[in-house]
Amino acid sequence: MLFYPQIRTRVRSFAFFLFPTILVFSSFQVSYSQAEDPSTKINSTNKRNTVTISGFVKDQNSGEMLGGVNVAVLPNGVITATNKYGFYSITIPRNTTNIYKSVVANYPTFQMDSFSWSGQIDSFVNFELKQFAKDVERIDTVNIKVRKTIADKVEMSRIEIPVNQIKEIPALLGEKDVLKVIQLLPGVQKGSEGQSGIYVRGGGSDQNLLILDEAVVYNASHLFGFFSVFNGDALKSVELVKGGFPARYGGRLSSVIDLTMKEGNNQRTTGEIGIGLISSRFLVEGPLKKGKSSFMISGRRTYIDLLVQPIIMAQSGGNTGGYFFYDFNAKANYILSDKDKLYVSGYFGQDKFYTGVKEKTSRFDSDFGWGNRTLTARWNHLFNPKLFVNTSLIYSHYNLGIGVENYAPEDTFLLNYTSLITDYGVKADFDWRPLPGHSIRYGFSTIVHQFRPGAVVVKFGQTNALDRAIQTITNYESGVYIEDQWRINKKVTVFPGFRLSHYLVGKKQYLFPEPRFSGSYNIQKDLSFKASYALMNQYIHLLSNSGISLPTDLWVPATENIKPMRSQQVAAGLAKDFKKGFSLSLEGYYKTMTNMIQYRDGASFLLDEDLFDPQAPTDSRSWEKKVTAGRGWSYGTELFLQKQMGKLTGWVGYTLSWTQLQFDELNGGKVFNAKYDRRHDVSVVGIYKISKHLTASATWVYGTGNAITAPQGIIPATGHQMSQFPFIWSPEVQFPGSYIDYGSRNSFRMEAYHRLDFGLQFSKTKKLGVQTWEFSVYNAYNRANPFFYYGGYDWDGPNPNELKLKKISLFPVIPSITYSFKFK
Amino acid sequence: MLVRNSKNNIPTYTNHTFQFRIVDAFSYLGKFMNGSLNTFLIVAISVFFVGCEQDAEVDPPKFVKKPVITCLMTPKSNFVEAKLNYTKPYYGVPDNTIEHIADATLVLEDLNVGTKDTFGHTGLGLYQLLLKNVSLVPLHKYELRVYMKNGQVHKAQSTIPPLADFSNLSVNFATLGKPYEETDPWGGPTYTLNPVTIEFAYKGLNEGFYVSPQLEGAAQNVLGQESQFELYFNEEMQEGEGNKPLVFFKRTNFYSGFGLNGPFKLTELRGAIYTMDKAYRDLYLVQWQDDENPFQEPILYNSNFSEGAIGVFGSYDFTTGSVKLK
Repeated sequence: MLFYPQIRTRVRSFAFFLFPTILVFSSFQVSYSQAEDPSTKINSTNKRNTVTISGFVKDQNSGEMLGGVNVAVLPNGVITATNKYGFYSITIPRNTTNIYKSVVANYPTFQMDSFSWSGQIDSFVNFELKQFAKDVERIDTVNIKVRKTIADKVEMSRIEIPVNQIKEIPALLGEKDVLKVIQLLPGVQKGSEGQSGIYVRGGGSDQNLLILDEAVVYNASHLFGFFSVFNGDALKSVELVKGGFPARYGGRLSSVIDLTMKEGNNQRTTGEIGIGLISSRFLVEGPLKKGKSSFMISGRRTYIDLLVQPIIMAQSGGNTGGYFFYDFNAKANYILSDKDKLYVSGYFGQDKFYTGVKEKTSRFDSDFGWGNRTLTARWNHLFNPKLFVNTSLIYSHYNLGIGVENYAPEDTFLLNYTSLITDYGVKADFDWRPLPGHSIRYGFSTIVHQFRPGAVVVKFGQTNALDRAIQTITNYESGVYIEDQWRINKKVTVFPGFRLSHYLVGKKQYLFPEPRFSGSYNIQKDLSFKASYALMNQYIHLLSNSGISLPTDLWVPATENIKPMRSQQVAAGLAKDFKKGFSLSLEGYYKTMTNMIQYRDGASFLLDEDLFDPQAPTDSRSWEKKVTAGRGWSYGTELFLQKQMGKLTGWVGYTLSWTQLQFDELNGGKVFNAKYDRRHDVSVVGIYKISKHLTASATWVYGTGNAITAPQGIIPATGHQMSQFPFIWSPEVQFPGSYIDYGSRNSFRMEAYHRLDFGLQFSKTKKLGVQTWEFSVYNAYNRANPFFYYGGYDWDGPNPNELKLKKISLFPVIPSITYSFKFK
Repeated sequence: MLVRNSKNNIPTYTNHTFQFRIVDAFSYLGKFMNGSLNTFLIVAISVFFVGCEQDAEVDPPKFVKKPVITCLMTPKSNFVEAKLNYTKPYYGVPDNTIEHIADATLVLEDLNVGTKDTFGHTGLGLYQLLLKNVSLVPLHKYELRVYMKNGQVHKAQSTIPPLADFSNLSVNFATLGKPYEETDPWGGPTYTLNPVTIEFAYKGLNEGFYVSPQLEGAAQNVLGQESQFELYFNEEMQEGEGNKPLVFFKRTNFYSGFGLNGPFKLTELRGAIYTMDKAYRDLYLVQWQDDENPFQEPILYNSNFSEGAIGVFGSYDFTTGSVKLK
């Protein structure tokens, strides 16, 4: 039952979003009444001083909409980029001459397309770009005027990762991984050896917003983080934003990784299969109704368990055990009209460890697993040539489960533990290009988060049962935003934005304004200075120990007592384009973070131990007592030299950075290094097309060792006698054997990390399609990179009692082979 | 979060009834989830990549020998003790010898009134000061200065906490739940469990000091027979917040049967309330350092001494008493 104050609070919260929503929709009505019907070409008799050309850009081959395509009107030199749904709109002053203008669309790996336009009437034109054949050499001399170069872009700290390039970079066991490629970019650091977790500009692994078709993915790891859940086959685009955040993004402090699934080919049915060492994958796409609608389904599963299961069963008398993960992506879309499109997409993935032990009269089964599910329904609508809207309904679910079952005649025992997060969200994003030089976006989003940090069911025998369903914490996270990319003149572009972020948990409300700003000044045609500022708030925290990130890490919400995290980041830098496709960016940043939480000293438990105390109240908030809040700051410089054209492509990234933390209750209140404080981080990526059938690639990475807390000395026993008072629980400091002197927290450095990988891809065109064999070598010079450190003994050595510091390294040189076939 | 009680709270003696088995199951799972699961996960990862795993020796942190100074004061005592020795290397062959510091000069000064006195060395790095010239007074700040033979001076300060007052303790509620019986499935005796829920608050302690109530509850039956139960709290030590009440909550059971039968009535809470400064509290927590689990958050030894010495100069006090339950 809701009490009056709660109702009042929720009504207030609802009203907070109702008002801007009404406002927004009111503006649509006005806009709509003034709009012309978009069609292939529209004639307008309006007497305005401006004219608009708009439309969509799609792939001629597959019919998929293309985002990020540069569309330019020449000779005016006005350039815009399509949004992720392929929509573009350019408004320019009406042409008063009889000289026709050129409208040009240009996109990497696609042939440029153009047409002539009078510039006197509003027009609606769709581009259909044709992809270069794979064996055709890329044209390097694309007219600079229609290619939005790095110096042209106002956004900074933002990198689009070509999905095709991800497939060409060598990977561990041949498993292509988006997040591992993102780790190779400057400003992004990986965690431990082989892990797909990322740490951006000093932020924690929980400070990255991973969105797949608008839905948040909470745990992006398979196999404890050695692989990510994102199947590269199913992805259409990947974008990383690590600073200067546009106002449309909110809810995380450090980065946004925006992934979009393929829509599916609406022209013909095609597909792809791949067979690797640990998993195989497939993709099928095709039209549901040619030119109108399409589908895409893609799946991947490991099969180690299937291969080793017969061996385990044969050797253990019927026992089972193993591990697998799978993921499945599906998407369908339907073009209702020129103005309306519908998309439905989903992701389903699961990891599972399982064991089964069979005796004559008993059976013991256990399993441990985690998985994500997302579902997104989107509706694109074009109100008029200047106003586009995307409305999304979003569902996201993350679960972690542990099950133990013991069946025996005299002793049956069942135990199930589950931890869940479920999100229901709605958002609308408007893309409005009202005036020359302005590209305005506004919208709102609201998400209902349901956190269930832990629920346990225990059953003994046939009758006795205990069901401890931990309270669900429901909270509401919302935001309204507006941003305008305004090209003031040929030299100056600014990108101000404002987001109002709101969060409601219980009776507590947080309402925060979040100003954002980016700006660029073109010093020369191919050289620009950029600067940005962003304030971000984050309403969820990931409770993890400082050693290693595990699937059992617990997502918990901000509450009345645990405040939301906040960051402010300023960045400035230079961007320069060179000939032959080279570009260089140099950025410096300074970021502060407040209300970060960490476990207090000594808390090894990842879950609340009260959860397992049947006498404790069924309150899922007591984790709050086990954490402490503090602040952090990070600063550094990033250099990114990229080559996007020619036979040789790739990049060199270098980051020089410092990240420090201060918590009143940790390290005696003194400042200490963050675990992933990394002074130097270097990545070199090269992809070389030797011939039309052969591509070689290599990556080399180097990173300063992680900062860890390691024992440095022994403090001999100190303390004092127990008092005379007889209570055994008296808080007397007693005489332990000794204490450990760890020095300062994270004051010891692990060895530096470095590694070289090679890959070689052979492609051959067959009757049915193109087959590709890939041979790769991970860690080519067999560097023993540290995974973790521990104190141990050499029992067989000359001094078996001597305690030594030892490291565990996971991956030596690992060759792998992968086969894939892409159907025509 | 203090973990001592929970570490000692696995009821190993209670394997004979269903209820106890549930407690065991939860405790086991709690333990499993706490440390073992992580270890299990890491082992699972390692097993998965067993063909790849390599083990190698690396250079340990450079050992720097530091003086260790420990001095804990309480007004309950008529002397103050300090112990001085040096840290030892963590790595290498174990060495059980302790290098004591026998040639230092220690001076304790009451910074509020300016009185000071010098410790005497009694052997094995143990220094004692009889409280004649200096008195330990609540809320007075004291400085301990340690003059090393090499000329180095290490200093630390501590403030005597205010004596706890039972009149600052108020019971929000103390209730007895419905008793229930449990029978040992292995044929043992039948017990009666009496659930108790208690919440009380303590207020009036200044920030910077910590309070730790250490109480036991008492319940009487109509014959005047008494059963006691220990109350140890999840928030065992809480920092004072002035007049804002610090809340302590506990659910527990006490057992009856075997001639001690209900119905019962809760009669009183009795025991001690400790107060201490932060240095004492930090040293108390560091006792629960556990280096066996590599994934446990390390508990750092927080020193409040200057000039590179490691150690604690802290103080505590306690008062005993009781609160009647209505």
